Amino acid sequence: MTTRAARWLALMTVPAASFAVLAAGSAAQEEEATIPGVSLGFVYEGERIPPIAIRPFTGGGPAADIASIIATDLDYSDRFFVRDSLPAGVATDGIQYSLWDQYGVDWLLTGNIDSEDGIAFLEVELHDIVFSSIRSRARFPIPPPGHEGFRLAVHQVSDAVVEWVHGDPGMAASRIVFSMRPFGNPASKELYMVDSDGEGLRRVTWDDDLAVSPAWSPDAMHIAYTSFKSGLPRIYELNLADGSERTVEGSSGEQQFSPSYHPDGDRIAFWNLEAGGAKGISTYNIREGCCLTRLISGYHQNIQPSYSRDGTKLAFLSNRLGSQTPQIYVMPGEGGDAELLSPYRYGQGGYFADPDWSPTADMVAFAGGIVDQRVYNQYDIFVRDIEAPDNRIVRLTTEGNNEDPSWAPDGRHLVVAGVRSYGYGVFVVDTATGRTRLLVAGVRAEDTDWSPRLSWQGVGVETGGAGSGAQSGEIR
Amino acid sequence: MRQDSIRAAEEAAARERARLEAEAAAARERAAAAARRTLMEVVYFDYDEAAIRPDTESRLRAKLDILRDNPGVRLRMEGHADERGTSEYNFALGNDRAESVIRFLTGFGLDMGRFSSVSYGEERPVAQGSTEEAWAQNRRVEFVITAGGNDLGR
Repeated sequence: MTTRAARWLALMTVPAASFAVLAAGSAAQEEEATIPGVSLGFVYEGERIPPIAIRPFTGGGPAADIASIIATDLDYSDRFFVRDSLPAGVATDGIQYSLWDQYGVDWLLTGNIDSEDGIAFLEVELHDIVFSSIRSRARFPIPPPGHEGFRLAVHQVSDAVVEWVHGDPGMAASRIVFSMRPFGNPASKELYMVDSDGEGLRRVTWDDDLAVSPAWSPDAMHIAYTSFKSGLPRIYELNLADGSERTVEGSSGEQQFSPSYHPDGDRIAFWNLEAGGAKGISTYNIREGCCLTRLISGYHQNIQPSYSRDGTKLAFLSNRLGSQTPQIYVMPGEGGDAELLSPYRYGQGGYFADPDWSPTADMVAFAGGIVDQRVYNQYDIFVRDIEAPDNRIVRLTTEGNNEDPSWAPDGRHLVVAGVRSYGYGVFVVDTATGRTRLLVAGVRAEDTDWSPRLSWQGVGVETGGAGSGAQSGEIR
Repeated sequence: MRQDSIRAAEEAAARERARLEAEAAAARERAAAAARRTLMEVVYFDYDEAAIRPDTESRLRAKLDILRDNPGVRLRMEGHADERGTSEYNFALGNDRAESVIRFLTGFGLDMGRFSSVSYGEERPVAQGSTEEAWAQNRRVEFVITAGGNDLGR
C-alpha cells in the first residue's frame, strides 16, 4: 500500500481538478461570494519552474538508487521540473553543455560514488547549463543502503541541491508524525511516522489507548503528545533516542491536550481542564520540570495553541463567539489580548480550527469553512499572512475534506489529513503552486505534524543549512 | 410429641423469616439495580451544544434523587461528541458536556468532589455511520459509578 508504485497508481486516479489550475476560476468566484476577503489558492504568480536533468550517477553500488531518490525529492520540492527521459548519447565523462542546452534543461546534476577508508562518499556537481559552468559541488558521506540513515543522508543531498539553486534548503530530510487507529484495534489510536517522500511508514507508540496530537520538538529529538494511557488525557514527551518519557505536572483528575513547543525547545504550551472546572491554555518548562504558567482562562474553550517561529505570538482556537463558530485568534506568547485571525463575519457562521504557525514566516495555516451541519466535514485549508497589508487569506484546497495542516521546514509545503472521492489519505500541498500529492494512501490519519530538518548523523536538527554534511566547499 | 410440634413450629417460623429476608434482599437488589440503571442512563445533546435539553434534565433529576439518598456514590462523567467538527475541538466539546452535567448536579447542592470527568471527543462512537440518527446517539455523556455502587439500596 505504501510502495511508490501504489502511490503513483493512486495519484493517477486523482480527479484532474485537483491539479488543474484552469479549474480554479469558477470555484474562486463562488468562494468570493461565500467568504469575503478570502481568495482562492491556485491563483499563483507565474513562477517558472526550471527543468533539471539528472545524469546516471557513476561509481556503481547504490548509485542508481541514490539518483532515483534524489530525482523524486527534487520533483517533490516543486522547485524543479525533473526531466525523466535523457537524450541519447549521454556520456558519463565530461559535460557536453551544448547537448544539455539543446535538451532544454537549465540545470544538470551529476554524481559519483567512491569509497575512502571504508566510508562511501557521494560527490555531486550541479551544472548551470545556461552559463555552461559548475554552480556548486560537494562531497557527502553516505552510509550503506542497509543503514537506517541511508535514505535520510540522500535526502540531505537533495535539500542541498535545492539550496544551491534557490538559496533555501528543501524539506526532503524530514518526517511527518500523525495519529491513526492501528489495524485490529479500532478503540485506540497510535502515533505513526513517515518520511517526507512517503517511504518508511512505521509505528511510534504502543499505548493501547488514544495517543493523539503529536508535536515535534525544535531539535527533533522529542515528540510531545497526548495519551489516555493513564485513564485520563495527559501530555507525554517521548525521547526518540532512548524511548524515555517526561510528563507535564498536573493536578489529580486534570486533563491535558495538544502540546506546542516554544522555539526554545524547553517550554510547551498546551490546554487543560482541571477537576474543579478551571481550564485554558498554559505553558510548562518540560526540560526543567517547572514553571507552570496559566496564559489564558475563562468560561469559553481556548484550545490548540501554536507558537510563532520566534515564540512571541501564540495562535489558538476559541469558541468565545459562540458554539458552532470556533475561530482562530492570535495573542502574545506570554498571554494578553487576543485578535481574531480567521475570516469571521457576523451572521455567517464559519468553523475554523487546527492553527499551525509557519517555521519561516508570520503565516498561519488552518482548516475550516462555512459549515453545512447536515453533512460530515468538508473543510478546506487556509493560509493567513499576518504581515500582508490587505489581510488576505488564501484558500489552498477545493475538494473533499482537509484538516490538521502542518508546515514543512521549508515554510512552503503543508501536510494535511484529508479525504477525497477515492478515500482517506495524508496529502502534501505546495502553497506556492497548489500542487497536491498523496503522501500516504488509504489511511484515516489525523493530527499531522511535520518535523524540522533532520540529519542522518543522529536524528536531530540540521544546523547551518542543509549542505553542512558536505565535506568540501561549494562553488558559488 | 409436644416437643416435636414446638420444634416444627420454630422451624416453620425460621423458614418464614428466611423467606421474608430473601424477598427483602431481592427487593433491595432490584431497587439497587434500578438505581444503578438510572444513574448510568446516558444523556444526549444537540449538535455542537453543551446546554441541558429538557429530556436530559429529567434524566439528571432522576439521578439527583438517588445521589442525595446515597452520599457515598461517586460518578465519572464521560463526554462524547459526534464525528462532525475537528477531533481536537470535539475533545473540548465533550468536556463542555461533562462539565455542564456536573454544574447541573452541583447546582442542587451536591458536592463537586463526588464527580470527575473525562472527554473522549469523537473517538468512541456508539453508533456508526454519518447520519443524523447516528450522530444524535453519539452526542452524549455516559456515567460510570466509581465508588459506593455496592451500597446502593441499603
